[in-house]
Amino acid sequence: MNTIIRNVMKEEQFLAGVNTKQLDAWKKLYQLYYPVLCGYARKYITNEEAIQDITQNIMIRLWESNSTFTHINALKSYLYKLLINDCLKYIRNRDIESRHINQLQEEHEHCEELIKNEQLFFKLHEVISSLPPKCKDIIISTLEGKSVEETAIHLNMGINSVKKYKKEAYRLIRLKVDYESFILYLNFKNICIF
Amino acid sequence: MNYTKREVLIHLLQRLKLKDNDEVTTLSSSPDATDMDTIYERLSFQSKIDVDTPFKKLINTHSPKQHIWDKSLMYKICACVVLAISITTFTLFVIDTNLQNESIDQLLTHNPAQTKNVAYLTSRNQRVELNNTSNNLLQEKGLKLTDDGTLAVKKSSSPIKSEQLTVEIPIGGEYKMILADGTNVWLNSDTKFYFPTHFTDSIRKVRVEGEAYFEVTKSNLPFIVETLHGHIQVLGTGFNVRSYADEVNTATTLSSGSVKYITLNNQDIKLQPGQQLQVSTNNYTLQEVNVALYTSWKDGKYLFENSSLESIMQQLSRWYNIKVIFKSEYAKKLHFTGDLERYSNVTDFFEFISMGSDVKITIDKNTVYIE
Repeated sequence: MNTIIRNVMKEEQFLAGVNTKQLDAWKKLYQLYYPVLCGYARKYITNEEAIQDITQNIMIRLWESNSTFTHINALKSYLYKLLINDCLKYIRNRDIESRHINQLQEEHEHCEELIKNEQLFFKLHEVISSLPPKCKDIIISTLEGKSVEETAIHLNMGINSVKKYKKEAYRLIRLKVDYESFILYLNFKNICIF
Repeated sequence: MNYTKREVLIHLLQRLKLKDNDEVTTLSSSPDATDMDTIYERLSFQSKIDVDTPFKKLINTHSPKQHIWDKSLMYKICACVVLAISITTFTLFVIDTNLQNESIDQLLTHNPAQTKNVAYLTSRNQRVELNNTSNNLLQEKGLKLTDDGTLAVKKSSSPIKSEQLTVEIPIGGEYKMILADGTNVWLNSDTKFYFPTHFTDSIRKVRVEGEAYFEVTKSNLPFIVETLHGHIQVLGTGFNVRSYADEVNTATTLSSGSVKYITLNNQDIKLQPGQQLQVSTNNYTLQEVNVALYTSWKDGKYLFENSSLESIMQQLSRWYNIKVIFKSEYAKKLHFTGDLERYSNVTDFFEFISMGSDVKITIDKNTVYIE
């Protein structure tokens, strides 16, 4: 019961922390948002270095600004708008693939829709990044399409231990996601999950 | 046991779908292979990004702009402003409250205005209510009640034997008395005050269990107030003592003159006007305070400045003889600023609290529930 409340409270605390520039909240902002924003920017730009520069730049702007947000979605749409803007600027400067710009710009107009779709990546990223290191590595290489054998070689592990960790990873993912749906669907009833 | 990457995602998506019905369905209803690959590709890319380096770079090379007006602070300030304005305004206007009317009537019967001058005098073997000027016991002890309900110790030239007396103020009551040396003492609700009919020896010694404000007449004889956590040595001054058994600290607030506090372990601490000393069993703190906040009660007013609802209600329960039950921890921590006329209707006050914040107050007989 307590853990549930703490987790629900976290979103408000997180937002307040971001607003008041608290380090722990910003660390979480980085852990959760930075990679997803980078991931989204790849829609526009392929150069990974440029992507990271642009995303970092946006974070710096937020860090140095007075902007405060009353809802998590407001924060998200702020970041995505800046991101898309900067990506388009980058493309324009590079003068490449300008024929796509109009279509991409359209997406910019429908930010709410965009954020809804991006929700998926936030969730999945949160779940994956919360896994223990070995489980995480295995899930990533599974996502890359590697087989158990390939993963074993790539990570320098035995086939059986890859299987074991994979099983553990699925268990943890299930636990994590189930736990989240618990929060919404059981309406904070007195249920002990763990 | 060989999960494919497609299964991984479907697994995840199905779970997530439980949570955000619509948002995910577009992606999960008919995932086609290329979509999947894009998603996987992005997920694995995201998972590999190093966030520590850019984060450290940010905090080390850029300084944030602080925004002090965060929402909760605004909320608190609004609550305080509304509360302060409405309390003063509402003493002028009578408004039909939507609170349960029956309960208000019940509360009104406990309005402290009616219990203001109730006190009990105890001597060795007798206990009387202080309401009758012609009371024999009073005469006998050399006491008299003045017209405005103050209990005064008569100055007598003939040295009759001094006797230890106790005045007891019930919850909801308040009393003023004048001691043999002319010292004025205001006694607050739920207080026991021990004093002698005459100060015979070389000291003037009284004892307080509860809250009292003293205006001590100047004299060469030291005036000593005993409290739960040590005693106060006074020369001639005005100060407030708050020493309730159900509170951790004894708070001494000095408005003028000077006093010395001697703790149970014989530490002595001198107070300057405007300072407040809080003493508990094994430590103490000395701080500058707004004295009016701690002494206004003697003039029938309750001032509070950024006090938690919990401490406000603790005060009110003592004055109005009500029981307060907090159903939420959140409500306890709300802070308010304002003033309250002690002898006006307490239910108005509750209404302002609930207007100025999102707490709900319900009254049942003598019990107030806050959630």
